[in-house]
Amino acid sequence: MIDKLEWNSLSYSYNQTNTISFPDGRINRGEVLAAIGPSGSGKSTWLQLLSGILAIQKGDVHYGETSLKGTSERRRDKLRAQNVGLVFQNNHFLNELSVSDNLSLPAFAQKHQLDSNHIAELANRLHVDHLLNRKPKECSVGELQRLSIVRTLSTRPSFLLADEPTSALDDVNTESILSIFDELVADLNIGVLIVTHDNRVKSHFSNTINFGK
Amino acid sequence: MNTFKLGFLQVWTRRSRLFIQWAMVCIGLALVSGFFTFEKSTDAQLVNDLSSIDQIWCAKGSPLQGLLANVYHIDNPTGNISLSEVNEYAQNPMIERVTRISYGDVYKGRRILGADASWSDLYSLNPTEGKLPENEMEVALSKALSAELGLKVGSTFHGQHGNAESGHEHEEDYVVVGIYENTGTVADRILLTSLSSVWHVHHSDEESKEITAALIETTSPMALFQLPRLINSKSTFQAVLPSIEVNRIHALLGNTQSAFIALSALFLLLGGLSIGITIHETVRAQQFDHTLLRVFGLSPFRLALTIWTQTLLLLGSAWVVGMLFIKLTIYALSPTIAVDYGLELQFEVMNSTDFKLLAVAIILGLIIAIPPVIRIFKTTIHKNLKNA
Repeated sequence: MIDKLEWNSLSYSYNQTNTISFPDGRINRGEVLAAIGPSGSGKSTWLQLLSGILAIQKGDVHYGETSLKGTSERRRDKLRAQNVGLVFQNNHFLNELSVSDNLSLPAFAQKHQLDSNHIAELANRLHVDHLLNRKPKECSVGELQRLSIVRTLSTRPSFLLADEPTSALDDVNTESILSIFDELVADLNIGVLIVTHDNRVKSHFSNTINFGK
Repeated sequence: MNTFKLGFLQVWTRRSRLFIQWAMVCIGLALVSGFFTFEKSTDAQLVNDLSSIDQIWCAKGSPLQGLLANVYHIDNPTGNISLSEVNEYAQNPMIERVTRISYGDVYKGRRILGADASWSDLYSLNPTEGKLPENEMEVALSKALSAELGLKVGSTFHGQHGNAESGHEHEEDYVVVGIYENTGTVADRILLTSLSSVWHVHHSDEESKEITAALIETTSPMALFQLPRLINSKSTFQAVLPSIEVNRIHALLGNTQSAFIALSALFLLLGGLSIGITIHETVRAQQFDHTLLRVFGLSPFRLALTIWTQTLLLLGSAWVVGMLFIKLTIYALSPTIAVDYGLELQFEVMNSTDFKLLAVAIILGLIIAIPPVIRIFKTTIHKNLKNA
């Protein structure tokens, strides 16, 4: 269990000529940080560097005291699975499985004992407990977004990294998701990092980083 | 959730697309298994029906026809031969036993075979009711044939001339005097009577008595070389060596067998390959499913295991269903085939060929999963997120 996620001197280049540099920073458990910037400003690349999906080229990311720099993909995958949960804009679910089976996938992937009570509690907190026996196709976009948060939190990560979690949602659902993030931070002591170009998010949180193009 | 459940559900959701390919594998496996059962059974039948017959003396013509007609009773005889001449050569000291047979009539499509009493020894006939024929116009038959023809001890019937049911009916009554145990040999398809019955029905006089063939057992292997030379050069009939003719049957069937096996294997291979192609396409379409699982921490190796689970599940279930289908078919049809074609299909719940086919199915399942598995190992989460 880690208490902080820290990055410094981070930059990434997809080709030799175009390098994106990212501001230094850190986030502790129990905090929310929103990274705001237009499309193409490198927010998703940054999130992939923080989550260990991309290998670090310059700078470093620390999960607690553990550095991600120079670690193998397999090791980064493991560190991510143990410490970080990811929520995407387009919430993807395996359609052949029930919602309940989908929620058990992180535990399966990490070879953890499935904590059904924890999932039921999260589902209840996010008001999606009535959807567990349905198929993903039978749920609305807003419901799926909340279910994806339940799925991500099912293995009790220390940090939740969300990539454009509200872009596909209407105002009502956006407000609902943002309130959920507030609750998670306060009640579960989780660190939440949101990257978005959605101005509705910007006005909701005070702790923000701005990405320019 | 576990790897098997995930693999199963991924196959199950694509069941309509995979069904034809899966069915092709089932049929391929069933055909190969069925073919080997058939081949094994025919080989055993050829040996069983041959009993201890070392040579056949019959009218000159095709030796193969001589064997098929006089031992397996599935072809027309090459003609008749003189009884007195056979008796003359039968004195040869190299001969252990001579069984004279004669026929020309049928009853409801089944041959009425006139034979010496020694014919029943060739096939170890064991009457369960009544006795074996001793006197003129007495007939014995197997239990299976008795059930088929509706003949019991005491029943009478008329033979029809020739091999076709359309031949004219003889006036003389045959009387059933015995029913013997099924033997799993050609004896099960024959209405057995004495030689004298055949001569009586065909009004043969004493001097011109003929038989269809003589089945010879010799005293030593040397006789197999010497006797045919003597018979073929001096007599008016020919000596046929069954061992040579059985080899000829194998040679004749060889190409057909190879073609059949090739066709079945092609079915199996095409089915397997199309499953592989479908799974590969599915993996491509499921790239975001896989990305998600990788994000959750599933290793590429465990992801690959879900693919192998799918192919092995498909090929394994095809083997189970294919075997079940062919075994039940053999079990259901073997009594009819035994009666109609004289072939006792050897029913075995499982044999070595079936286990070899299971190995083939498993290996095929492992091989067809290789391209999608390579794709999984080659693709990174970042690449998939970009493409999603």
